[in-house]
Amino acid sequence: MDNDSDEKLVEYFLDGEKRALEILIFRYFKIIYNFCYRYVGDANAAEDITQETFVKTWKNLKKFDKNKKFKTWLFQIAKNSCIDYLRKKKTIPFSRFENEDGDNIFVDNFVDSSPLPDELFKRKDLSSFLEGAINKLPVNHKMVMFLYYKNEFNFREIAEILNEPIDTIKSRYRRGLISLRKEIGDYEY
Amino acid sequence: MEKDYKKLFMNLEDAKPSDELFEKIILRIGKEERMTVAKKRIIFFSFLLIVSSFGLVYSFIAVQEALVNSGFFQFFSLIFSDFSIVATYWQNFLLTLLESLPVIAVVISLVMLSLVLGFSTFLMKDIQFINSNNIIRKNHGF
Repeated sequence: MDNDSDEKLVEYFLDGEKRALEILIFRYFKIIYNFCYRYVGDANAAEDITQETFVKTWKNLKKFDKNKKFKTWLFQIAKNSCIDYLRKKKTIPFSRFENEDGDNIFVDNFVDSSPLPDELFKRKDLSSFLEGAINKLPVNHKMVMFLYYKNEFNFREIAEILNEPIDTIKSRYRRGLISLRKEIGDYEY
Repeated sequence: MEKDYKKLFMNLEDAKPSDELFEKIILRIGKEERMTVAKKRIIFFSFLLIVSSFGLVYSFIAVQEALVNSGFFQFFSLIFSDFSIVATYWQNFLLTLLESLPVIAVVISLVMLSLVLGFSTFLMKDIQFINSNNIIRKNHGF
């Protein structure tokens, strides 16, 4: 059972096999925790939201559309749980999730496609340096980039997870790249 | 460029959850499972409590009527009006009192009373369990 696909495990669980859910949780809890941590920026809160995500997943497994990817559905629940948490904590204005993509044709179409400098990858503190640079990005840009590069979702799946039009996601991705490039470029190697 | 950024992101260290997170999730789901059962029990016991409460009221009325019809109250009032005679023939008096007691009606009302108390206890336990979990959830921002 350990090597079965997510969707197969969901089927097993719905047939009464409780261990299937445990396998699914074990497969994803660290990934979901990381996603939540990036979203809310608080380790304790991320643990609570991760728990909440899996409880919601368990409660709604019967409603899971078998034609969809489980991983995308799970991330959707995690994203909604993060938003619920932030709204209730009122740590960020709701407007931060919306209307942040202004129509700037220049920005949307201009991405510096030159390779990243080799010196960057030689840095000993690359991880913490990168962490700092990424954390300066707006949360929506940051999350699109994480989902794309770290969790290996495509733009369509990211649009589904974040419940946004695909063009908005692409725009955020481009803006994220520009901002990140700027953060990295501003640093003297 | 795409590969560069992918490589860049792969250099990012993953945030590490606490060692107990997996267990916490499993326990939390177990608790939620018990909550679901508790909610169903609340509905079930509420229904039984309402039915048994009506039963209790009716059984009390029936006991009262049976006590009046059997003459129990009249015999019992002798204790206050003719205590010396009751004291002299206390064995016969006790037997008469017991014979006039509507045993079946009394037993039924006692059963009803114990059912009402039992269902109330179960109901309170389930309500307390759900309330305590809701407080924990609120404290964690959900």
